[in-house]
Amino acid sequence: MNLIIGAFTIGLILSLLSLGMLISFRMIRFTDITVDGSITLGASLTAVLIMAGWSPWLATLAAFMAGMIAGSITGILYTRFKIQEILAGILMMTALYSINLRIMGKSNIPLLDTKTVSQIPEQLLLSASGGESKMLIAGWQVSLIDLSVLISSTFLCLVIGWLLYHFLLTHYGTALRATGNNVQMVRAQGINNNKMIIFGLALSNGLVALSGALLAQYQGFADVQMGIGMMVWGLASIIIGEALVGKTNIWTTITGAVLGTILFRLLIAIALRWGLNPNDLKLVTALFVFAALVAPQLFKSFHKKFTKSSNHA
Amino acid sequence: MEIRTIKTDKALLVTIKERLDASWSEYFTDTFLEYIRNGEHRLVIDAQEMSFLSSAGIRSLLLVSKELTKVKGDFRIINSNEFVANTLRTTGFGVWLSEAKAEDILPATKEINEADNLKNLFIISKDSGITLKLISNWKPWENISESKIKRVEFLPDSFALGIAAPPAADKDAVLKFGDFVSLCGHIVYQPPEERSRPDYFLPMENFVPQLQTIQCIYAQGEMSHLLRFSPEENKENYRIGELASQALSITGSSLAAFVILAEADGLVGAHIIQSPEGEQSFTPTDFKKLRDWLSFSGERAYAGEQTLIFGVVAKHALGGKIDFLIPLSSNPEIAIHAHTTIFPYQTLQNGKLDLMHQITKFFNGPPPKGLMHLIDDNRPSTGLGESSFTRGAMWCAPAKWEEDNV
Amino acid sequence: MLKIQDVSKTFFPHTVNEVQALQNIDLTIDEGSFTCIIGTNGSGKSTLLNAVAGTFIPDSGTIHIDGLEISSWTEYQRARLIGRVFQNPFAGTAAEMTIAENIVLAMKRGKMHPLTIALNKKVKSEISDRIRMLKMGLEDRLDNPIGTLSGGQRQALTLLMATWLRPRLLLLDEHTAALDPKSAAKIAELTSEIIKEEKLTALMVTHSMQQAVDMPDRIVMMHRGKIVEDYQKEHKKRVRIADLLDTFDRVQKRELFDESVAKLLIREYI
Ligand SMILES: Nc1ncnc2c1ncn2[C@@H]1O[C@H](COP(=O)(O)OP(=O)(O)OP(=O)(O)O)[C@@H](O)[C@H]1O
Ligand SMILES: [Mg+2]
Repeated sequence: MNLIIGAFTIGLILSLLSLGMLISFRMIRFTDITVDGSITLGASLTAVLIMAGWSPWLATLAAFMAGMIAGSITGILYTRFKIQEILAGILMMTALYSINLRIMGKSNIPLLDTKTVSQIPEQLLLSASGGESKMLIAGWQVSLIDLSVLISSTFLCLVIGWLLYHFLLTHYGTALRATGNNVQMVRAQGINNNKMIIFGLALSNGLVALSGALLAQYQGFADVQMGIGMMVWGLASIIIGEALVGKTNIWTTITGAVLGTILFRLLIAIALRWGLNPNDLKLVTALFVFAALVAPQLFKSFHKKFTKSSNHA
Repeated sequence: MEIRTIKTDKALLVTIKERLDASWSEYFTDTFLEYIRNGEHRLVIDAQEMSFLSSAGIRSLLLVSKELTKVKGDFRIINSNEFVANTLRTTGFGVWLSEAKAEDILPATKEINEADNLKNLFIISKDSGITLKLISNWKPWENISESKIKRVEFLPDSFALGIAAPPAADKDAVLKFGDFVSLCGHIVYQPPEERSRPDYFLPMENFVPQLQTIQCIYAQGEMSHLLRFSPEENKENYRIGELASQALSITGSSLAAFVILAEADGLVGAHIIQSPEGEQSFTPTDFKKLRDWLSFSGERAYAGEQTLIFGVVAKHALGGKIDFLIPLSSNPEIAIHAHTTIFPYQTLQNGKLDLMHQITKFFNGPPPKGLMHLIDDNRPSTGLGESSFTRGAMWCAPAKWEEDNV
Repeated sequence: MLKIQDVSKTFFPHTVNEVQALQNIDLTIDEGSFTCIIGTNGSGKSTLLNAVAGTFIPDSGTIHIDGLEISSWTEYQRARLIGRVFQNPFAGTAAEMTIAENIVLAMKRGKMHPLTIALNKKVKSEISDRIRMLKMGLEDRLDNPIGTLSGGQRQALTLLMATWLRPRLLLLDEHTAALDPKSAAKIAELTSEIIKEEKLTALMVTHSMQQAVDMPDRIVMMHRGKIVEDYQKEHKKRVRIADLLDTFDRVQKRELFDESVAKLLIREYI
């Protein structure tokens, strides 16, 4: 049960990463590698601020802002300085590595016995259970702390999902989606497509950093290495989500991304339980994404061959 | 529908199978007009296997028959079955029907055919000849003074070519000089503008067309010979140089005038597009400037159209007025000067043609499409060559220069 | 209304591939007039339209709309004054978004309220009222992705979008060329109708001589980056297809008139 709650919690936290990447990869169609840096940025900044005595909410908000700034810089590199999108992302990600080290002052910061955003549900639960630190749910012993994190991340996820959904339906959101679909058309409608790209990347990386901030609070530490491979994980989650729920409209896309992330975390947890070497995790994920990217093409050519040969018959 | 032809030396026997109706009529008409264009003026349709004839089909037959009438051709339908025969009779076209068998009908036209096939060369009047006058002799781009401009009347027995302007309404109006050709008093004049189509002037009862010429070779008299030419086995077209040198040998003269009425295979030429006036400061060194003065056909133009040419040809060693005749690169022995006007295509009758009749026919039809001074494009490798023709007629006569310039 | 002065554009300057796509173009378009631009392939028609729309900044020259110097405006800034339809029927709409979403962007061209919900009942009924005039049954398919429509239907919608907020200038670049003949005729008809009804100022590139003769009230012919012919008013009314073809011929003839021809003519004509 703990395994499931853990996977759920991490899944919900990382679904913010997936939602962020949904904006960059799927809406404005920008292959944004900044992600690996901005998730660490969120984590490290929150850790440092919380250690410095900031309210965890404010620290989380600051992480979100910092992520937005990082994203806008990538966007400006791409639009203003005409640097290719991948390269712009790599530049920003590399710069963020040093910036993160600077922020933390060392390569990792433990967050022991500090306040987190899940304080309120934790206290509520504690008072409800009468001071017990564990609770019995459906016959399972569940740590109240874990439960409270789950509750707060569910809450955040719902709120942000809802906000994102509505934002994407506004004029600005519609324009943002159109930018990834057909830039020429967007310009012809009098919309500054560069502004859209910068804004999209800012929002995307803001959410990614937010996800990093929550992750640090949940794990209890921030590490300068923690971002490596996050982009691929996010992509894997999105792909799973699309396969799961489809992408017929904004609503399904958003829920798909969230559910995809949770499922992905569950799969990983199960794989680890079955004895997958954690060091191989990233390789397996990469292979999975590779397979997911190639499968549709393979399927198509297979289909073509098949119809061709049946035509001949 | 299916069309099959058998060519005999007397006629073209065309077998039509199955339906001649609205969906086939256009194809039928085009095919038959092409036969006529190729000189098949005696057409016999074998209608034995024609299963259906609709009003659209009759309309096509009528078009073909009209076209043949224009060239004094002959059109019969033989072997028709009851249905076709009835359809034609009830619509009033029974006259086309012939009771004859394919073998019988051919001799019926034999008489005329023989006349046709006798020869390609016709003698019109042995003794006639042409007198040439160089009335005005401006050369590009000399100054134009009052005295260079000569007013010329184009009489019905004259031919002329050169550069001229229509007489202006009032004295002070600027004269617009452009290339012209005149045939039996019928003038075609190309206004000196790129955009304009040629203008033309016809003689009326009491009206003799006139022009203010600055360059004019004027010919008066009657043509003596007529040569008909059409594609032969190893000869698909005739260059103007070949025809002109034929004119010299037919007339046995070293100077000849000729009129060619023929279907163009491709014409190469130029005309003035900016009227020369007053003082000419122009020296043709800059080709971009020359481009504003002359329009060059740039390709072998007007293929398939009917051209009407007046020209003068001379053996080279004549001197004097030879200035206005230019040696041919394919045959440097002779020099020519020819202007052509271009009319939309009309089929010519086979055999002997009357020049005056043809000229009035063309001038009373659709207006001329163009006018050019023919050029022998002998540029190495990129040259377009001489103008050439697929089939037509050439009238010619021996000529001599009249000594004093009028 | 539109004033193009001395505009030039050279692609790949100072290389073997140098193309002088526009050479000192001067063109003034009157308010409410409908002008067709014709010309051979590569004569610079699209480049001229692109210069007006701001796809690139010309090497020299100025462009004014309504007396406003717009030469330094970006493409999307100019889009507030200019509606555009491209040759590619897929270029003017976002395929994966719905008909309604595409149109709503055009309804708010350049002056949207960023954070209000774009589509509500009222907006949707406004949209379906307007696209009913196309008589294509699209008013019932507002929530279908636009990518599921045919090229002709998409082009009709693009045209509607370009003119939704009466633009000061409408630019059409061979917008019927990629369609089947029937759809092309329909779009051409729709174009004339909208331009007439809304009294738009329009500039249209076409390869169809029939359209050039039938639709506009002025024809401009381009060749090698230059305007070589300009039929206006009475002259335009007189023009027939044959005249246009003649003019093409003449322009090309002139093109063939090179130094060797000059030498030939000096020898053989003069
Ligand atoms: N972006 C570009 N880069 C380089 N060369 C270009 C570019 N756009 C146009 N050209 C060149 O400029 C010239 C004019 O092109 P343009 O597209 O304006 O012609 P057009 O008149 O629209 O022709 P078409 O009828 O084929 O559409 C061509 O030679 C073309 O190759
Ligand atoms: Mg173009």
